[in-house]
Amino acid sequence: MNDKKLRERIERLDPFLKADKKKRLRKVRPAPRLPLALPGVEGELVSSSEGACFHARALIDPKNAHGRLPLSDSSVSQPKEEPGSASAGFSGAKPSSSLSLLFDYTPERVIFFDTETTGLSLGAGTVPFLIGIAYFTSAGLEVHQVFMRDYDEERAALRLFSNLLDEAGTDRDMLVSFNGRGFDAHLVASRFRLYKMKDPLPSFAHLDLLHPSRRIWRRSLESCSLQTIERSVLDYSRTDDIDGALIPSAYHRYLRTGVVADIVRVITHNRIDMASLAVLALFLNGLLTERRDWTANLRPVELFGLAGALYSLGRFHGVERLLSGLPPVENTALRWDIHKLRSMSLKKLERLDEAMILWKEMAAFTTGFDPFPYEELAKAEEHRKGRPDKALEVVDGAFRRIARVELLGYRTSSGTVERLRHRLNRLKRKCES
Amino acid sequence: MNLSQILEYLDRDPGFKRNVAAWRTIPSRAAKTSPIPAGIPPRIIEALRRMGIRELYCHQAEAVSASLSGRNVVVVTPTASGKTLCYNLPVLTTILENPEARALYLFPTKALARDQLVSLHELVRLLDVPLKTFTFDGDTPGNIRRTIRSSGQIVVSNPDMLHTGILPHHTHWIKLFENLKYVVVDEMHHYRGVFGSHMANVIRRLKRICDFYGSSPRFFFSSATIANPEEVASILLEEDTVLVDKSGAPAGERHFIVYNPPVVNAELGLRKSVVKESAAVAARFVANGIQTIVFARSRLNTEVIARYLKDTMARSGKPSAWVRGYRGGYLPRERQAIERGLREGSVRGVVSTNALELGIDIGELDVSVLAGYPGTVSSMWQQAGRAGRRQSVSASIMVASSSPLDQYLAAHPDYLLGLPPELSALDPDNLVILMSHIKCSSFEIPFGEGEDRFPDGTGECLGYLEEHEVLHRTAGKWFWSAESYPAGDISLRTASPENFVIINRDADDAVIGEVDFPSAPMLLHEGAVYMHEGGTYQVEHLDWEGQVAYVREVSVDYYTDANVKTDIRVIDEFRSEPFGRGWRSEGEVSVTLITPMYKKIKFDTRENLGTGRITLPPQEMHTTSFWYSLDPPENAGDFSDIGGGLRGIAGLFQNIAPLLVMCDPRDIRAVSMVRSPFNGLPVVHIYDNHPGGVGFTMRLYRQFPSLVERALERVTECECPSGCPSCVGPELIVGDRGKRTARALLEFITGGSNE
Repeated sequence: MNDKKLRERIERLDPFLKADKKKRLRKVRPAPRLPLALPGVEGELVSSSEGACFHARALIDPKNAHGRLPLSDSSVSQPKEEPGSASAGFSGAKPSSSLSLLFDYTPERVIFFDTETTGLSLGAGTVPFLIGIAYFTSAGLEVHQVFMRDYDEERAALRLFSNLLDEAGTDRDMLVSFNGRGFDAHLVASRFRLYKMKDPLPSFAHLDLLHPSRRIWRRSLESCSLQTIERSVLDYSRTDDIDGALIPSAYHRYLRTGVVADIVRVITHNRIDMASLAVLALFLNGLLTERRDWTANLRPVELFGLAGALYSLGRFHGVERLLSGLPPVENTALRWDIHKLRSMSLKKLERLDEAMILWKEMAAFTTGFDPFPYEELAKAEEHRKGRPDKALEVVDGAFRRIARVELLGYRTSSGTVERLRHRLNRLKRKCES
Repeated sequence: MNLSQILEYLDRDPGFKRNVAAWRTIPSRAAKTSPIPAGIPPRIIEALRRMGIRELYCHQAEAVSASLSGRNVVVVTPTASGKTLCYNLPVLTTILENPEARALYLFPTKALARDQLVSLHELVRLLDVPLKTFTFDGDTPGNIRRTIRSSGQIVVSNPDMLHTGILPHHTHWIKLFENLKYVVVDEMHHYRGVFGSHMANVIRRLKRICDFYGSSPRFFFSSATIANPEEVASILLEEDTVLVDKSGAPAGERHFIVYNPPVVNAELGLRKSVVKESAAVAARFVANGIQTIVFARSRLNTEVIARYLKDTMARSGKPSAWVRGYRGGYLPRERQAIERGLREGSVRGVVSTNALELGIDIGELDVSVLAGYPGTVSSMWQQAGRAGRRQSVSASIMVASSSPLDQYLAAHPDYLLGLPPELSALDPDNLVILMSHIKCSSFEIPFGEGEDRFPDGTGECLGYLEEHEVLHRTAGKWFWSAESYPAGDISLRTASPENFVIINRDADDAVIGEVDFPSAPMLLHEGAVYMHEGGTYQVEHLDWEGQVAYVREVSVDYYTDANVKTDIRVIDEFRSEPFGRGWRSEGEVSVTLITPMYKKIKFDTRENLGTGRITLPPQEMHTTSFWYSLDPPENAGDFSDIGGGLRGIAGLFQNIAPLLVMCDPRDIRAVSMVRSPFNGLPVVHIYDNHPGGVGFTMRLYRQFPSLVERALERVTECECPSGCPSCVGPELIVGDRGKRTARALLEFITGGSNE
């Protein structure tokens, strides 16, 4: 088949080729000239043997307000004393987990990191066309962004990024991102491999703010995106910002038209993202270290999330401080969860009697059946208090409860019943002997 | 009674023997062995010894030596001849020598991959080295994917997962791609038609990525039934291969019986139903506890036969749980339970569509019953091969249906048994498929000028994608420049999108099955009766956009059968020349399918209980077609009912053409038109039933003379007066003069032939 024939067939098969945007067929134009500068963006073209790319720079005054907080706050709080456990108390969380990194957060030692990409999938065809880092210096928050003006500048862009990170990393050892562990770092690693270059990211610890944010706001915000948190928690509103979802298509459009207006907006967007990271990290650290003025504004469901984070960190006194004064909440599911968390924390603190009071309350207020309070009470009575007869009563109570909720139409899983029966029989034997 | 006794009994039973068109006995065969080839490390020899293997079958030794010497190998030997050892030995040898080496095993389905891993693990366990083999498919949990990517030495997967889950993420599979030494493609006969054409392109993409990481793996293909293995391997691989096809494995005595149900109405050419006869034949074995598999031609027949067999068991005091149905649309959990039941023996009879034809491990069975010719010789041998043991006797019985093809084959069993398996046809350069993979491949690594892993014409495709803003060209390369993830939108199994799911409103909205997109209008229209595990459900609501059908359990005595209307428009004529009294042509067509109505048909009597309307959007498809245009002069013969005659010819062609072009009957469709809008003449079209065409009907241009000859032979031989399901189709469809006209038309065509 000659080329023209082939071409005609391609056109006819168009509906099946599933080319995107098939309605806007247009002839290919010669590629537009690459911009040498971007209006309103400070920075310059950087050239090397590996090609050129654009290096955008900015310096933000740390006293600038970013919503309710300034970018930097000298009063970064110190962890409260935690009697009975090590000061950082990593009993639950791994030392490298986002929570423990956040707990030890030191603004001077971190580099904020965020990318803008040509697509949202993680495959080899998604390219981070803008990579930004930012860090505090004596002058303020210093922002460096590497922009590739076309695909063929990627190698140079990666090299520049790597160099900038090296420089920033001489006295900093941690990256701070939002969803960067799952997305940005993963993608950047992929690009370095594609160009057979060494990925500089793994030599840094990586604090991803998405995870702690989720713990606190998952149940109270409609989404846990950075923008939502900015708006709802940090009281920061962006003006004239480009919608993050439109960024990939903005880049593709720029490539075809050479019009840079949207790119300038993307660069600003990326810069704001990193400023928000700085404030959010500060705020989350304040919450984890129980800054009263900040935790006071949290809703019960958020406090519960925060307390869960403290529990993972092994800060059981903190859990108690946050939750003990809480007035009873309406929502029974939440009330259950709060009781459960508090009771487990009290148990860790060896305040068994208080925990038992909570378990008894829980056994009283559930609507369906959950074996948790019964099993905990039975264990406490049997092993800690040395009262197997009491434990037996507790398990008996559980079976009465199961029978009652069954009348109401609840089914208890056979595994649970089996486990309780096993305990019951064992306790019976123990009491008899 | 054991199987030999039953076979002896049947041999003496005149009622059975009367219907036997052919009974072949293939004597048992002794093993032919060779010493274990040099180069296999002592460790492996020791492990083999512990498995009781001191020598290899000669084909195994030959394949292993060829593979170790660096050749791409194709092994084609019967089921249960030890094919997996042919590739496991060279792979394990290579990995023992160099633990960094990697191998990729590809099986057409997830289930097969899992099964093969079991036998591989056995060998690895005896080797006593910590070899890391992993299955990587859609069910692999996220947390172990990372381990597999970095340290899996043998990665077992399927083409779909390679296409969507591995190749697009190659940067995370560097260890694999840098060190890839072997790629095993098992069950290669599966890669024909659309799936094969996709597979060839997936292999192009794979090799392109290997190029990038500097590896050049050897390939290993294998199959039990395929006529043109070297040709298919060379199309899939675009490299030379060496063929090993002389099996040295032993086999027990085998019986192959062609059974033609008795005529019940000579006038109408009606025979006893293939469904009931197959069930009755199978029941003789199952009732004696002999493990039997029945292959039905459709989902519906699967259900009907399963129900019949269960009833028979119940009547004869045997557990009805001995019998299970099995087909696509059952959920994986259900299927695995049935497979296990077969292996363990708790299931004695299974009724399946071709879903079990592939090498899913259900152990060796005693008997297979084919309810109708499965459409291709290779399917026939695959299905027959499900019964077969190395040591003891086995039997396969093919029960002919009343379709013209089955009747032709029952009348000419020697022809049937002498037929080679189909040449697998695949067309990797099919434009729709090629374009899909050029997109995927661009996403993986930007195309540069002068690349040669993809064929000529790729430049045009890249240009097209560039114009459509999918690719962006800069510095001599085409970069992926869209937000989407192309592999996610492209299915290797079909050119059409996702399956429809079926939700039972009477069981907490449980998903009870799936139906592919092209079948949905016919099977899931509102009012349709859907059958599943012997139960009947009625479609209450079809959410076309959401691709969901909501059903309720009903108790009805009918099933539904939808009519499909086909409209064909010629878009481009590639070539055309006079043949006989008319023209043969091929080109590109647009096919529109409309499903306007359905019939309710009573289960037992097949009487029509009424009709219903269907309002669903028409489906349009561009594809390649062969067509023959008749040019009858005004006074030539009695063509007064030309419509019926043409329908009859189309029916004959539909049935006979697959035999000639060696494809599955579903891959092509024959449709007649009394007056084609293209040239105003009576025309019969035979088109590829896949968007873009896959090349089957292209072969008809050349083979048309023998197609006409076979069709005429069939219509002349058939003794029915005016059309029956065994020749042109029932009178109901072709009219009372349809058969006569069809014959006259065929004679008219050949009469004018110069060949």
